[in-house]
Amino acid sequence: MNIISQAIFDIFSGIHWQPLLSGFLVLLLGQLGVRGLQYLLDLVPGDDTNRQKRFLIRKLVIYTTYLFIILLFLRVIGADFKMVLSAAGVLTLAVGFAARTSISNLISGVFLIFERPFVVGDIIEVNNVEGEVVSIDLLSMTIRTLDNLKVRLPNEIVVGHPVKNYSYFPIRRFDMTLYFRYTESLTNIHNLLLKVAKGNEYALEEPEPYFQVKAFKEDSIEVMFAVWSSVEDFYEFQSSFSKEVHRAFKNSGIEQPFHSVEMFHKSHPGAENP
Amino acid sequence: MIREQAQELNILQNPVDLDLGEIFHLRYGPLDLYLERAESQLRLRWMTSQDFMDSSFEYQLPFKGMFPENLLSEKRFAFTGKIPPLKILPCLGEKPFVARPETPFMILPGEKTSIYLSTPMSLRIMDNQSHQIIDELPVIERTKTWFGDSFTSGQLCFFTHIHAALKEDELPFRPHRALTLVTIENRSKKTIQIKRLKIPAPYLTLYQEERGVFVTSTLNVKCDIKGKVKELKIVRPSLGDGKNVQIFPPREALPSSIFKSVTELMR
Repeated sequence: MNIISQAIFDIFSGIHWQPLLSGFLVLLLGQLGVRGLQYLLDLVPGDDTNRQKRFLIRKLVIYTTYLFIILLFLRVIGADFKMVLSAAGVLTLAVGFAARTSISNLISGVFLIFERPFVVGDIIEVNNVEGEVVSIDLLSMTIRTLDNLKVRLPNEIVVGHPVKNYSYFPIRRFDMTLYFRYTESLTNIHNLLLKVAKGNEYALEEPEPYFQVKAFKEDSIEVMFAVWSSVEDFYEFQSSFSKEVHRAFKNSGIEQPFHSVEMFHKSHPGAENP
Repeated sequence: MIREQAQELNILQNPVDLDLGEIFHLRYGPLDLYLERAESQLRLRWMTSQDFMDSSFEYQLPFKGMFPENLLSEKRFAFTGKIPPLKILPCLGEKPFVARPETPFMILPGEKTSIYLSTPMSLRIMDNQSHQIIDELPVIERTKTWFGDSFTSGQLCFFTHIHAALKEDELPFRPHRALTLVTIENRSKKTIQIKRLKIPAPYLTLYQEERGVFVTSTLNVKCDIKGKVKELKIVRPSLGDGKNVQIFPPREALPSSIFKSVTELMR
């Protein structure tokens, strides 16, 4: 029992209490300082357009302050800086190998925040995922798909793939591809489509709809009819316009060609006739 | 002509005070609107016809018929106490309107012209005491259009059939439209062609003349030597007898002229 008590006494009597207490005081005051800094950063006015930048700057300021506090703590407790730096170098190398994906995501996140190819609320498509941008963070971004699924995309993937931003411009074109029989009048079809577009509540008057004959195929004529709509109305427009076009063709007796195969039965000579 | 028929529009300034079960009916151009005070609620039913030329005006308080069941749109607003007297306030749209002359209109160098336009209005239904907005209905059906030099630079506007004339008397009377005067001065050395004209409705004030007719602020436009809008001034109208009262203030303050989308009025 005495041996244990002596060992504990030796350990504690060897500790320099004053620098250690000063160090903990530095940590405590530093933590309070960071809290105050966070409060002040929250007071900085801003709007949604620079939300990501403010987020990034806030993180950078906070992390830099923490780094400063840790260095101050080490200095106060009298730590050997050479040893700390060599240990930090080895640690950085190890962590760097282990967390290279995270670091890549982090750097990609910084690019995304400053380059601003899209902002929160935009409808985008990236890596075959289409939906509304819910958040852009340092490591990843979150998309809410149109069928209400939450998809987390690492920033590295977003930076490395083409991004379609459907909300960047206020108007968007809907390209409808249609096929018609050779016997149909293209002028009549064009006029009918124009009439349907004019009657649709979401179709824009201008830019005017665009009609183009794309190809003369084996069994049909391929036509593209392009109509513009505002981005906010696009999905309603796409749905209502498609239905109205279908109804108009049905009412006008215009049919879309089916792929058909004609078969002829030829009897062999000498075979019995049915 | 316009002013004689517009006299009856003054009745819109009266508050609509409905007793329980009473119905108010307003036929305002293409808009057919009914308001009914039911138990703890206010019911709105309305329908807009496609007839842009419709100049009907009927104001029935109380309406003697039944609350119609065949109109397309309905809204109900809950009220815990007595429904306050309502104000039916004509107002201008929340987006600019684009007018398209039937044939392009030219202004020769050094010429100054005045164009009279009929700007469509909306109806705002509000509490006459607290001025709380209950609802706002466009009087005519509006579609959207893009007004800009390219697919990427421009502004989303409303498109509707807008009558334009070089003389005020040439405009047909429409109770649901306000008279807008646009003066354009061509200071350039080339002819300005107007295929489209944008009426920046959110920046305009709506007035009502003593004799009933609704007028908006006047737009004074001066074009520079390149034929682009150099100066846009929005001033109080001096149409008709000049005696007018403000009915509806501008929805937005006119931004600085550096905003091209605002000052770009003609194409």
